[in-house]
Amino acid sequence: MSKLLQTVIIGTVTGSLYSLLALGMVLVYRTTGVLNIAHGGIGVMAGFVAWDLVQLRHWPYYAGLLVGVSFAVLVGLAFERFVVRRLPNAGSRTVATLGLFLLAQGVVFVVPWWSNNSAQVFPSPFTGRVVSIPGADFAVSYDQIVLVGTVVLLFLGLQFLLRRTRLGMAMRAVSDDPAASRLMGVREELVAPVVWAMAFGIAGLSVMLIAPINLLENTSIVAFTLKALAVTFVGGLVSLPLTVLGATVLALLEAFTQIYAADIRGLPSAWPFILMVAVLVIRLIRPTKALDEQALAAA
Amino acid sequence: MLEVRGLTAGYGPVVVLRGIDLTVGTGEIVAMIGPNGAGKTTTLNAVAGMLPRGGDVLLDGEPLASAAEQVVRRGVALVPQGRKVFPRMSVEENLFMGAYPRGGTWRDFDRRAEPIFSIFPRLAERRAQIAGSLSGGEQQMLVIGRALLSEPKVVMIDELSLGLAPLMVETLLDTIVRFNRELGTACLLVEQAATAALEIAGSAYLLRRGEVVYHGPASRLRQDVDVLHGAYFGTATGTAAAAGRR
Amino acid sequence: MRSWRGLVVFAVLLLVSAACNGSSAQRDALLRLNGVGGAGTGGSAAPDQTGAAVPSDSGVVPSGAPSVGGPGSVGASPAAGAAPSFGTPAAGGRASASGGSRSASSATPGGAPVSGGGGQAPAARPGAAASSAASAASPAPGAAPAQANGNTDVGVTATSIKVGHIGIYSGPVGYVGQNLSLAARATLQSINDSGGVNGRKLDVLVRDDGWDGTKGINAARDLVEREKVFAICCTQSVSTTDPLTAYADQQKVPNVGPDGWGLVQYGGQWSWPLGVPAMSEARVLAKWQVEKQGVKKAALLHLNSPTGQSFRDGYKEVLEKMGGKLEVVQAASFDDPGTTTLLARARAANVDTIAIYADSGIVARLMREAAGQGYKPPKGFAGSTFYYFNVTPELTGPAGEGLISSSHWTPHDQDTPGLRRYREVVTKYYPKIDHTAWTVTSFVGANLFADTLKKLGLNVTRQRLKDALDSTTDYDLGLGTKVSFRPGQHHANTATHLVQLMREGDKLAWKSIGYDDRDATFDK
Ligand SMILES: Nc1ncnc2c1ncn2[C@@H]1O[C@H](COP(=O)(O)OP(=O)(O)O)[C@@H](O)[C@H]1O
Ligand SMILES: [Mg+2]
Repeated sequence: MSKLLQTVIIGTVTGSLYSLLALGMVLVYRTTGVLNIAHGGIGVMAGFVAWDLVQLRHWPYYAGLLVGVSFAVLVGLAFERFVVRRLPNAGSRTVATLGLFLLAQGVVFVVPWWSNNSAQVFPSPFTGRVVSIPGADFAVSYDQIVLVGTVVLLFLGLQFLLRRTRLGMAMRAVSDDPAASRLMGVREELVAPVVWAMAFGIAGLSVMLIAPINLLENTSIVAFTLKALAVTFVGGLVSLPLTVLGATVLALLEAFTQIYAADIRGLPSAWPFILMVAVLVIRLIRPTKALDEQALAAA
Repeated sequence: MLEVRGLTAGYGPVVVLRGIDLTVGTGEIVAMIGPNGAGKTTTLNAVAGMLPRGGDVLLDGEPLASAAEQVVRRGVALVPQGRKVFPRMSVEENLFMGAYPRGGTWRDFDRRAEPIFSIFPRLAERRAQIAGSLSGGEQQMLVIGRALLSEPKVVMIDELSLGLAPLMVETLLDTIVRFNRELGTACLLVEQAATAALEIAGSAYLLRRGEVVYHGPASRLRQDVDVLHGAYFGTATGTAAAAGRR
Repeated sequence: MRSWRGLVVFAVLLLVSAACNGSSAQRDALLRLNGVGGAGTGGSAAPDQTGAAVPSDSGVVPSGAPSVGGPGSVGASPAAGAAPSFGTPAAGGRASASGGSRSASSATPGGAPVSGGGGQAPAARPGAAASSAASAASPAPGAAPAQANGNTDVGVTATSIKVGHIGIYSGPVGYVGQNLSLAARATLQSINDSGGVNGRKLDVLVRDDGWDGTKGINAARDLVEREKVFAICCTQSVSTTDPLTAYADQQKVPNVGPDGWGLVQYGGQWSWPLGVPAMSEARVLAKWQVEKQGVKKAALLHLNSPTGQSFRDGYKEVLEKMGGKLEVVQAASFDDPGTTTLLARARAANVDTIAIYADSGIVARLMREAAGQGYKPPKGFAGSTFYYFNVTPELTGPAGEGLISSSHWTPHDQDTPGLRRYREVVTKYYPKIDHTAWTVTSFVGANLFADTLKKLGLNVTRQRLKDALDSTTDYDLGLGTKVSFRPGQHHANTATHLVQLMREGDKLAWKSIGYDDRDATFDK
């Protein structure tokens, strides 16, 4: 019984982690049509900036956090202004995010006092405090609770933004039809920077929330980002609820197979792949259009 | 109300419009017809601020800005050719975007949309449907409804009937008459296939090769097929051809 | 028009990022070198000061600076700042060591200079694949067998012996791996500074493998087949040294002092490993845990490499032979260490201990996470030398207290004459080095290499070095293990010491727990 509960908790926390990264990518795709491959990479870079200030320069934690997120926001603004805007379409912009990803990775590796360890210790003010779960013989750390809570807030916040606010509606309109949205009085050149700034800020914040749990570490964040990418396909890259659902299902499948079916070698790590194939097969069997409508209806 | 004088526009070095004069009076329905490639779409886009333009465009005697965002705020709405709905947004959300230039929010949406839903009950029925999945006629209703939500003084509709069944065209023309009467919105109706538009329009313009070749009551064009014929095939200017037959 | 401009922007972006990434490994390595070494070395001999480090052709080469010969020994080392490159073998300082230099021939000790320097000594290595070295001139008929030009074998001149060394400066364990290489380079440099080997300086060419065996073997091929090194010394990157064993045999090139962590390294005729195999570590650890801690049930997390698997196998074998049970086994990768699920499974199985074969980063995550859950197996965490680095307590924080690690040689908290000498030599060149089992292995390897070469006199050949190494008996630097090799029996070191992270002031530090044992299963 406690094993089952533990497995569910582990799956939920890991699912939140995937969701956190995936939601940021869905935001960008849904409002710009660009698959932001740089999401995790930018987050790691911003995470290192914050870590540098807090751990090496002894800034107050929240000041470091703020500067780290602001740094990501500035990178987002610059990227929109100098790259995205000059590229003709979503395809070329997606490729540009790949370039940005490599660039961000390069920066993280080049700064010698960032890369002198495989991982860096970046505790939050909550690190070390835990809540024990009755009946599970298990404890959940405050950091993990903050992570899960942030995902819930981010999910609700993005839902609200994209469906209920003028800004969010304008973002979606621009991504659907830039010319038609001009006729609705929307100025793309004012909306697009907000999207990128917001998405990059979320990326930075995500990594700063993950770091106290997982240490600040590049390889696994990049691996998580890839899984998050797989998860975004479940929601057709646009649906926030389906994305969170996909992330949670993936993490639960991983947790259950790792804990209950560890003898089936390779199965836990095969899930993202299986998930992708399943989504593709469903798309083949059922007309894509109908599926997209469902995704959007659920969005 | 909307006055266009000596409008020129083109694409890069290619000049398409060579000085268009056009007037749409308050509450009027005006038809602009002409063969494919005459420059109708170019005219509307230039007025709406989607293309750089020369000449004067005045609204109520005041010059109209040349940026699309400002044009719509002044009360000139364009329903572009090709039924440009926001395909991944619902009917309701498309209409919301119509109210956007008027500072619309979800809180006052129902109040703003109410008159539009009463003109287009089909849209009310399909409020939550994704726009991309609507039929062609429904999409046309949606883009007209969306334009009306910006509370325009004049709405310019490009190729209303293109690709639609005759019955649907009739329905749409009825709704135009209806909002024109109920809301007092003037309408500049652009059509390649002339007959339908001429039924509801007061005056009409005939455009050919970027120039106005005829201007007069719509009823005359409706009655005298030769004028139209002349305009389309360029045997002579419309008026001259009509006069010659008499 | 617009798309064209977009393409240009994109191309520039890609180029910039590619440039950053391409050079990152090298720059990284260099920056680290300068950070670790340098300070406090008064003499001109610090290896990282031998010249500007110029990225070389193979892409993984932090070359240039790595050459151990200091500015004072120009004859044996590339001139400062010279970048060796394909196609221009004579450019810069490289030529001085490649056997083609006339100034070298005039200095040949005890042998008549032969015209057209670089002649191959025919008797030295007949038929060797690599003997096409320096074939600019045909061997002079009737020349004295081994002494022509001092060029007694591939890579040997009157004044120098060219040595290849592959270290770990980048990749997932670059942050700890570099210490191993720096210790080796410091020791080789100290040998040069005290006169070299019978008058010859060791000309050391350094490569980075990033803990990637493919890169490592490419580097080895470059060193052996293009650079024509005489031998490879002190390479301790198990990803490379495992496959390097077969390559050394194939090329008949001595591979002195590899880590010996992987078992395949003991099958080679031309490799003389000095560390303790991971399997032996695991066996000793399991025995101690059952005997002294009373462990009955255990969980094990291991990186899924051949070495990791041998650790798992050794641990399981001894644990289960002694009546215990390995309840949970989980393979990890750097992408997905799986620490969360390992902990859940270990808790569900109610194990006494969790054994680990992984790097400091993964160990730190595991222990922090366990502490976060308020969980610790009754007998704690224990495992391989992989994380016997001072960075481990930094990464684990207080959660690391009680962690047990294997060590080879005398643990570093001890104070013995052998360790004092080791520290004196290594810290002279790299004051900030992180002393571990592996840095000692480097020190022993470099010394064994030089001391054995000294025994050969001036007639240095690969075959003679092999024969001498194969008769090494009780080679002892006072570091806890006496090294002996016999032909076909290269298991020289299986002695595992145990150390533990204990509180020292407000920090954790590795302390010996006073237990060591040998794995006798490889004795013949
Ligand atoms: N984007 C464009 N680039 C270049 N020429 C165009 C473009 N759009 C239209 N044209 C040209 O402008 C002329 C008028 O086109 P248009 O205004 O679309 O005509 P209509 O709407 O009356 O069919 C045509 O000759 C057409 O080829
Ligand atoms: Mg047209």
